[in-house]
Amino acid sequence: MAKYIIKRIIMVPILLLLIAMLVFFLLNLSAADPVLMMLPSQYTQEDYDAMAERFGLDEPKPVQFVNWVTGILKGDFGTSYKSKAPVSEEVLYRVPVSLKLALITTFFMLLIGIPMGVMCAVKQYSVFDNIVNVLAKFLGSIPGFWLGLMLMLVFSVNLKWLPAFGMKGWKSWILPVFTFLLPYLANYLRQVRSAMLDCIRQDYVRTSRSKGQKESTVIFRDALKNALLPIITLTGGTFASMIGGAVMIEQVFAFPGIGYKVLEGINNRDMPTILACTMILALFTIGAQLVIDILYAVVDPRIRSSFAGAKKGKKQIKEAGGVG
Amino acid sequence: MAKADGKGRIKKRGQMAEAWARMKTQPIAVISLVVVLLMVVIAIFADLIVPYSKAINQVAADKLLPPFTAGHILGTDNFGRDIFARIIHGTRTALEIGIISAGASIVVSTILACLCATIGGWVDNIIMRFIDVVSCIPSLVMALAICAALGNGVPQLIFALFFTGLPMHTKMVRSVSLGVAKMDYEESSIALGAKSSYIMGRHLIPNLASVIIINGTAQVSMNIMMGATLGFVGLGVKAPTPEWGTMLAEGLNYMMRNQYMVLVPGLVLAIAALFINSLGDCLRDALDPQLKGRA
Repeated sequence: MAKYIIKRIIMVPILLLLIAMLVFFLLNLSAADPVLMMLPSQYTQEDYDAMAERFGLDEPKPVQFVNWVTGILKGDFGTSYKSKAPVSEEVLYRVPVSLKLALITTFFMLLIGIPMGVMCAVKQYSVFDNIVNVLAKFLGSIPGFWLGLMLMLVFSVNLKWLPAFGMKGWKSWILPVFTFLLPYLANYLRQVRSAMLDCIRQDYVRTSRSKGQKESTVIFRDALKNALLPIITLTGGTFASMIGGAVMIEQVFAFPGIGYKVLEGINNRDMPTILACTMILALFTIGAQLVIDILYAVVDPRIRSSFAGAKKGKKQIKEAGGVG
Repeated sequence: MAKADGKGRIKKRGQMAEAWARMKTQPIAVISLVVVLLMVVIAIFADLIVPYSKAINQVAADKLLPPFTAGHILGTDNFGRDIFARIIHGTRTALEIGIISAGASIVVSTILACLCATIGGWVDNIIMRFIDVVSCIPSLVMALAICAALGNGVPQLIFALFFTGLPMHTKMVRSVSLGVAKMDYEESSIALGAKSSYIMGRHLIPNLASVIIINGTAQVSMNIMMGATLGFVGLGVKAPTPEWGTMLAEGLNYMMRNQYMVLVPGLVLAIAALFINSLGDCLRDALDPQLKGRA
């Protein structure tokens, strides 16, 4: 067990390095010369060389990459091409804002999603189930920014109840959280429902019923407890995808999070900012994935026991594709 | 479902014919199919419905007209361009982007996954580790970064969407292929000395057909939405090209003066998303009846 967790943790820096290589390569596909972008229209060769040297752009690309990575290890994400300030100062303080948005949304998603999903599964094909399903399908298929715009149109432009943009106290959180929540809630609820349906159809649930157990005991103790396993994976996966999904919501509501910053960087073609934001977002994705894998191993007695025993168990898990 | 063909032989309907028979009985499936086909027809014959010039011509006198004004059935935008024409030609842009990018990523990832499943070993390892790395970066952020690096334009956008679509499909096809690889008929082919290319064409790909169709539709709809999302933040297509996401972004600035600039493309986008997705769900139910009503 401990060996498995250590192995997973060792993988994190390796993955991050590979991601760094990929992102760096992709962003350098651009033909535009960042040095020219920063210079005024009238410049001399000396100006050019000085600017290139200041940002380390006179080095060959592989050296630039190594410098960038060693910089990150020292907590230095480079200097912004746009504002000429250290990127870490501009980016890091935004992380808590985005994280808070994702956490609040996850909290409401669990609070509403699990009871509603269970209810839909228990009353499959009832009117409630059908209405929730159609709504969930709709909300799950439209892009998040669309919903944000429409809610803004109703509540900010027409009813004037809530602020449309920026950060002005707690009221500014309502629309972003709501916009963020609905599509994720829709998908989450559908998946909780299907996880629950899988468990309700099991033999042990039928046995429990035939023993004359109360229906509530059957649902909560026998079915839900077993459905919790896929639900945990699901919650982690959803949280991981939220970190990237917040980009659009933050853009629509001009919400000062990391997603807003990455778009600002993209619009300014400011590579150090884009690189820093992408790496932070990837770190969160990997972190969430790591927590899921560990939780999964802790919660599932089948996986837990397989680590206690022979190597055979490990192989089975690998084949099932559950971990890794 | 089998029926005799008159000569005493039993003629079996193929998998696709069975799926189609199941789909026909579902009203939602038929409606979604009709709407999606209608979108395809609009995209193909966009020039016959309304000339392209109307979608990009800027008439200074006709700025921000409300719907149902003479000559502009859905009104005009802040440059005085006809919104209806932009929506119609935007359909073409959206489908072009969605179908080409999804098609490309389905083809490439199916080949990658089949290579993983049939050859295995280090090939499998390298491809899957690459896929792992790509899937650690949120797909939207990845698409944004690629678009930012390559600049605006339809081909660049298609490449970005193609690339971000790779991991999910590769993982899924690989796991299905590994399941097929354990089947007895595949083992017997190997025992008879079949080459991996033969196994890929003869056993793997036919078995993967339903997964490919299901994932393909889902990918098309996801890519259309992602394309609109990128357009909304100013990446993606070049300026005068009509595109739904760009239209929404322009509308956002004039929301207080003409709400229709947001409402119309928003509604079209929602309809497209809803029906393409619902068609995808119906296809999945028809092709894989075991899953029906569960997910």
